[in-house]
This record gives sequence, C-alpha cells and structure tokens, in this order.
Amino acid sequence: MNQVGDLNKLHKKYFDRGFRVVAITAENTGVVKSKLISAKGAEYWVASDPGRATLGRFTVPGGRTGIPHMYLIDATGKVVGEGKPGEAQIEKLLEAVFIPDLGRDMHAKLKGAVKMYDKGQIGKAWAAAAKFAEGEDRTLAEDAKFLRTKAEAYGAHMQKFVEAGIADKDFDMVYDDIKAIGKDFAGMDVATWAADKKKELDADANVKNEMSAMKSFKKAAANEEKAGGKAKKMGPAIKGYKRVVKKYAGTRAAKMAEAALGRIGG
Amino acid sequence: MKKSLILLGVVAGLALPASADWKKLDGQKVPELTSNEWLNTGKDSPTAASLRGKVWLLEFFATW
Repeated sequence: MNQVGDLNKLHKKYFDRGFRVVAITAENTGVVKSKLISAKGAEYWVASDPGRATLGRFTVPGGRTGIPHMYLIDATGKVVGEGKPGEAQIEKLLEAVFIPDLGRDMHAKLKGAVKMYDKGQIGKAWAAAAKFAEGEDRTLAEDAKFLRTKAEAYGAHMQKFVEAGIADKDFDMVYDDIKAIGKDFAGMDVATWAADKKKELDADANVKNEMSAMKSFKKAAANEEKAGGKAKKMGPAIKGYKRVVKKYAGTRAAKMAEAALGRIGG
Repeated sequence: MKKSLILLGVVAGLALPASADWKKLDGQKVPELTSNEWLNTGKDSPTAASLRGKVWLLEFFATW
C-alpha cells in the first residue's frame, strides 16, 4: 500500500476512537486538491500553509527536518514520536483517549437529559438523570446511572487536563479549562473543585508571573507573524523575545522565547 | 496447521508496522498549527487546542 493509502487506512480505522491524520504542506490549495486529493484519493485532514509557519515552529530537539516527515502527538498535546508509527504505538496512545459520546441508545424518558449532554451541558444532564437512577424501571435506572457515570468520567478527564496544564505551567490553557468546567459541569463536584483551584491559582504570585510572561511572549510572536519570515522585519519580534528571556527567566514563556530566538536567529 | 499459519500471516499483515525510522521523543508540547485553508475537515479548522484529547499523526509533505 502506498503512503496515502496507509494514512487513509489509519485515519478511517481509528477515527471513532479519537485519532486523526493531519497533513500540512507549503503548496497551495489548488495543487493539494489536484495532486493529493483528486489524483491519490487522500481522505485525511490536509492543510495548506504557504508561509511555512507551522513547519517553522515545529522544531523538536533531536528531531529530523525536511520533507516528508511525521510526528505522533498524544492526547495531552505532547509530541511523543517521530517517523511513521505502527498501529501498536497508536493503539497504546488511544487507551488514554476519552470519548465523550454516550455511544448507545438511551431510555426515552432520558431524552431531555441526553439532549443536554449532547449540547455540552453535562452538569445539567447529570442532575436531570438523577431522579431516574433509583426508580423501579430497571432499564431506565441503568441508563440514568450510565449517563451520570459517563458525565463524572468526563469531569474527571477535564480535571486531569487542568492538572497536566498546571504541571506544564500552561496557565492560559488551565484558566480556559477551569472556565469550561465551571460552565459545562455546573452542579457537579468537579465544578466545585475547579472554582477552588482558580482561587488557589489567582493567589499564586508565580502563576501571575507566568501569565505576564506569556502575554509578552504572545506580543513578540505576533510581531514574528507580521514579519512574515522576512529577516529585515524581525527586529520587533527579536527585541520582544529577548525581553521575555531576560525579564521572565525560568518561566515557560522564557523557554519558548529562547527557542524562537534560536529558530529566527535572534 | 499450514492453513492456520497462512491465516495468521494474513491477519498480522492487516496491522501497519512502524517504519524503520520510527523513534520515541521526549514529549515536547506541540506548537500551534497555521493554515490558509483546510481540506477534508468539513467545517472545522483544527488547531492544536481543538485536537487536544485526540491522538494525531502530523505529516509535513510535498506533492512533488
């Protein structure tokens, strides 16, 4: 089987379990449509990035450069491998993927709760199913318990994201996740946990420093984007990155700024 | 017996093995994706953040 055939096979086989093939090229969309999708039948996700911004950002220590090459990313957003993985590697990573879909037909009386769940109102669905969980109708009770258990597992999964984000000092993401948990899982224990965690983070001076550092890094990164790869226009970006490295030494943003300076030659 | 072995070989052949150049990396966070246009994604424009929670294979390629 050729390369496109292999990637199609992986993308389709594992799609429902949370796997995607994402292919990026510097060629324009017209070329991709004719030479990859029409001529070779690629069915996986493909993007055109003529400015090579993604490739430029994608410098992995010890990793290869050049085209073609592949990276495998796990469910927490970490690059865990390079080259073409086998299905054994993919299967192993998929064990950690949480599939939110209920994945089975539910009792008609749970229609409202299921609708809420499917809309992402997990806390409301969890509460709505409660009154059916202990009833005499065993099928209804089983389905209600199933929904509530799934909602709780979903909440635990989101909680893990927050904890991983804190460990990685990725506080922008952490605050986004905390906000989403508060809204989507309202009424559940995980929402209370998220509110407490926010208070704890708000009071932490190190977190504030990381957030300020990231804000400055993003300004520099925006200037890099504006420069469009032209060395003559990189001055503001280089200045910004250097400021982050100096002022916020030891932060995650400072490390990212150092990597950016290495990449653009600042 | 021979038939079973052949069948086993056929079944094993269905799973794609890793390529010779496959190697593990240390788990650096994936950078953001940039694209002018996405194809085969329906209405979605995937980002590194929207792909969180999924396992994905990122290929940089050219058609030449």
